[in-house]
Amino acid sequence: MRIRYPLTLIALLLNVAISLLPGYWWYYSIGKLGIVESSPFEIYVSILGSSLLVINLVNVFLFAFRFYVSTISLYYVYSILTKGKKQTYLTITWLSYMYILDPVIIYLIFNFILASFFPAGYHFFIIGVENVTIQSGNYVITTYVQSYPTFEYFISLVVGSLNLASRLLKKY
Amino acid sequence: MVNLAKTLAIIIFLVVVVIQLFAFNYISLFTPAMTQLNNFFNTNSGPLFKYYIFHDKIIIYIENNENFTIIVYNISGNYLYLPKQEVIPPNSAKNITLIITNPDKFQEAIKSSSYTLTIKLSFLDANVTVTQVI
Repeated sequence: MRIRYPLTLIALLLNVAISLLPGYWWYYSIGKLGIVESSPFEIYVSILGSSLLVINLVNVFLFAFRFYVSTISLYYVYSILTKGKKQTYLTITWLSYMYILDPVIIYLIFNFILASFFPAGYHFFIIGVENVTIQSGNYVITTYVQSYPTFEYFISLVVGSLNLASRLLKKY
Repeated sequence: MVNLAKTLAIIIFLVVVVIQLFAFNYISLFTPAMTQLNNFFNTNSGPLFKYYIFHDKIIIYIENNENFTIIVYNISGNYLYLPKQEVIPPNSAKNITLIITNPDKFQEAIKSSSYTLTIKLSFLDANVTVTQVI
């Protein structure tokens, strides 16, 4: 028997793989004063050298979200194989495409919200390093802001794009 | 029509949350997590400085209550200097000696009550410059 919708099947199975893959999609840091590593399924935050415990509670829900995405993807695989009914799932697509907004959000927080408490700011960028100077009272802190996607992020972009393609190409 | 896939997924989501919270006891993290947040906002930590001024030198007692190393690059002011850079390991304290080059001029300057000391520190890849009036 010929398998119908092969592209959709592959995209859905890759959804399961990317949602169960441990690790992070993006790395940010302000010097080593604050470090954020994140993916839609796992977050790590350290402030002044100690990791933030409350994030472990957030991770409980993000860990369960892995199974939410997997269950829907596997159910759609099941309905293609048994009923021949095509269903596509774009959550990984949206998450991977929208992740590029994170550096924008962090830039806005840093330059507009924090800057209203003390002079702070850096030039906008998405990937790379920028020097930053923060003045607070008689303190002047000079350090850098770092923002890098991980290899896993590029895998998720590929998986997201395959899912988008499976939505657009009706026959596959 | 109820979407069976999403209903199933939400049930599995909730089951995984409940298993983690209760079977793996993640719920017990709640109190320490809140305590840690409180401490971040309430305690005014950071290095503690105490000055002991002698005729020809100043001893600065620096207490590092953090779990990272602090490097003191330089301390400068009129008529005094830091002979060498100092490293203060995590959760420890250190006495740092500053040499006064001209004790008479220094005494005069410090009595004018606008004596400024510039301290250059480095920790966690950040350079911090503190100016203190003593």
